[in-house]
Amino acid sequence: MTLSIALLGVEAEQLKGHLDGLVLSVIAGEPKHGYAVIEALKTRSQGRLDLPEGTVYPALHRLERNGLLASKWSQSGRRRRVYRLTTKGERELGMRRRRWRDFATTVEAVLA
Amino acid sequence: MTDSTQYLTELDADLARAGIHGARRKRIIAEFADHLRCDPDADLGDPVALAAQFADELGTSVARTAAFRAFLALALAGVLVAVRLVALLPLQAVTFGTRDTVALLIAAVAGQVAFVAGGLGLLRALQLRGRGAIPRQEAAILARRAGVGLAAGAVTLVAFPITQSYQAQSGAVAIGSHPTNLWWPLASALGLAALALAATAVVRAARLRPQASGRAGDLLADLGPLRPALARISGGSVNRLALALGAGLTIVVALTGIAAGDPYDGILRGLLEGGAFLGAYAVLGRYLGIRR
Repeated sequence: MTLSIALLGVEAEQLKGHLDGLVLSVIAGEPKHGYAVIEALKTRSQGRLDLPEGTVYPALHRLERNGLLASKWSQSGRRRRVYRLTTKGERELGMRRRRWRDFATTVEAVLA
Repeated sequence: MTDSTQYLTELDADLARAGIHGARRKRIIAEFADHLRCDPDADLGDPVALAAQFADELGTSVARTAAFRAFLALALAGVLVAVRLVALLPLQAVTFGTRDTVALLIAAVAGQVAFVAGGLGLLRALQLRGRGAIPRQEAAILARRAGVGLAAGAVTLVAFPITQSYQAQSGAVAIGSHPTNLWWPLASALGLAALALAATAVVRAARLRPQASGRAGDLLADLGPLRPALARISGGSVNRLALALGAGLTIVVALTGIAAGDPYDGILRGLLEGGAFLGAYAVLGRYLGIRR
């Protein structure tokens, strides 16, 4: 089953290969629970990424199983699962950022 | 029942239908419950589709984990059996009864099945490294290879007629020379415990039901960088490749016998090995995703 992504202003196909990088990026700043990850994606894209909210959770679980994220139940306040980047996740995010910048520079050079 | 509670109940049931159980399912429900507390009007999506997405997203890593753990457990069991065999050599001096001979043959065949199934599981898991959602059929084949490998490994450990070997040839036992020593029972228990531990990962993989469609690869897909060369040699036919491997195995075993000065025994054992290989290929080939 493919991830269905409803978008405002961004083509779904354009986003498909980038969801992991986007999720890693919003968690990189500080550890977040699922709801906060989705809110951060909306806020940082200025509302242009409007993901069906539930679809982010399977990606979080997969990224954790692949060792890019770690999670634990929060100790203070409400019981919620908080995700943080692992060292492997930081490396992966750095690589994805470099690749994206190379790609964007290349496309920009041709389009411009 | 509130809308949120009903949604979570439906999601819980759909996750169970998708093969997601235990702590993982409880955690997903807790996370969704927290999300709905933050935003009671949130549109989290169709529970059936979400459960299928969880199964797809987790399917690859769960199946690969099962294959890796099975291989590690089989490697440990293999080392234990190999040490024991070396300690008992030469077995030619031992006179086994019919029951022990059958047990030894079963252990020998099961050991080879375990080695091949576990090894192929590892190869396929390595080939799937970095892949996103894999087809349901592919995940099932990984779980089957791991499961057959573990089952055959357990049969090898249990069937090996160790007590009889002790009695027949206690003087040849290098590690613990007394028939009543506990080395082999403890080693067998350790091997079986490792296999049982790995079996939990295999059960988890077998229960998970990814929905992604697509065909699973065959033996050629397991071969990685060797694939182009072997595909050229076999004309892209896995059956031809299996025949070539069976013939090769027969020749190698026969040559070993010839080199040892007993050509008739070598040729006989070569034919038996080659025949057993092709027989196993015919019986288990499709089930283990070696051929389509």
